[in-house]
Amino acid sequence: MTGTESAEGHDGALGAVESVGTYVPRSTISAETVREAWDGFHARGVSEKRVPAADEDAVTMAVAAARNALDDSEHNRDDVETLALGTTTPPVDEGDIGATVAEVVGLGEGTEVSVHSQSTRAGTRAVVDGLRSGTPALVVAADAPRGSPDDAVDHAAGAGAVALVVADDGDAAVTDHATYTREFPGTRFRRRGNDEVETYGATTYEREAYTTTVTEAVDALDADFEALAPTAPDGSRPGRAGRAVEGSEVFQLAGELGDTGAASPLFGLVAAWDAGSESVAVVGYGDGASADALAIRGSIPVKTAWPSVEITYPQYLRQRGHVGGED
Amino acid sequence: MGAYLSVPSWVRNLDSRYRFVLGECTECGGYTFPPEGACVECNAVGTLEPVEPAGTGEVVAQTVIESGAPPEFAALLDAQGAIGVVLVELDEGARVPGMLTDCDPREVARGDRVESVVRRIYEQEGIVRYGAKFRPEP
Ligand SMILES: [Zn+2]
Repeated sequence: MTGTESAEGHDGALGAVESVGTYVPRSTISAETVREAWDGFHARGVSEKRVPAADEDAVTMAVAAARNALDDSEHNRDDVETLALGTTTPPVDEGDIGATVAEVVGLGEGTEVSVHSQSTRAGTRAVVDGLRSGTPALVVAADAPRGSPDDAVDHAAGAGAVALVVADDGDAAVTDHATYTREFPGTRFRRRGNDEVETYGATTYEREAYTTTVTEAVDALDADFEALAPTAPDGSRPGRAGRAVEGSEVFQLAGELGDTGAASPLFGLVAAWDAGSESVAVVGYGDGASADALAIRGSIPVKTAWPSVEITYPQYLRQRGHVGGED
Repeated sequence: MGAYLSVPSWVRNLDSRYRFVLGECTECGGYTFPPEGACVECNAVGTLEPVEPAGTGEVVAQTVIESGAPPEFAALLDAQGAIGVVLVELDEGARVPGMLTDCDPREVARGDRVESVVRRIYEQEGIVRYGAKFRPEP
């Protein structure tokens, strides 16, 4: 594919973010602890990261974030017309986890439910879906990626979820959307039936795929912005997008939460708001490669501190199912 | 925790499993959980109206399982080292059972405040069963 596609000359907004809810697991492991266990730590720019409890997965984290977003919303769950969920780590290869999330939250049975997956772009795909569908929409990105315990993917792998209530009106207007897609295979993938994310391993190629795709999507936005919140597979990669997109400050939380996959650009948005930004470009990038860029004007007050309990490396292996009787 | 429960039986009470939906008796105001059959307070039949509690309450009884859990809980026991099971008096007044999470269950005592969260209960025959658990209130 060549070229870009931009939302057709909207004067008005595509919709707005009306409330936000976040969730991160409390278990935290430091880069230092992993470094001692492996005699090395390969995730750039990550100082510590979150680890799901043994009874957590993308569904339970999505539910927790969704409940927090609804608690802060003017809308209640009976008003929700759409649930759009994005994750690269659904607990099953086939089976509608959206139905489970809807049932646990207690949404109406007429709610339109969809799940986006297979790419870390799934989180922004869910946002776009929510904006295009009946509103108010509950949009949730939740992820807990995992790699091979000795590699950079797993060293970076974190966990967390962000939920947004998207409505016609709200304090943060989504003023434009643009996408870019061009084939760069193998930058991040998981084989069928496998829990571990892999990369082809050619760093320069992966950086080129990321920088090109993110920059092209952002350039296609008809908006000015002071902050950039891109997908953050580690704490370093987002800085490359920042250098390619002039004049914007880059926000990401991978440095302290680890790689939150599909949720990472929304954690970046939350960090930008927490720092006082009033115009943010959120960019969901995923293998393929493709990117969604969303221009957001305004802000919603959010907290970016979560309860934390330090765990040991053996605990980490048990909680993540790298050892022991994982189901 | 207990005997094998088929999926068709499991899905019958999802509101109670996920959100502790109770039956409030229109005769005496008492609560019955799950909201089925006769009122546990006054034995009235057909008087239970579903009510969704806030999910917060106080531990009234507590047990820690460190070995010998039913097979469907073996993986969780391996990962956590211990499983806490509690009886909680919800702020609305009903008493409901649940597992503990996000804590060392040995450090939870009667009288502690807890709140509900939804987690994986177990996986069986390839199907994940989710349900409400309790964790200490922050
Ligand atoms: Zn009664």
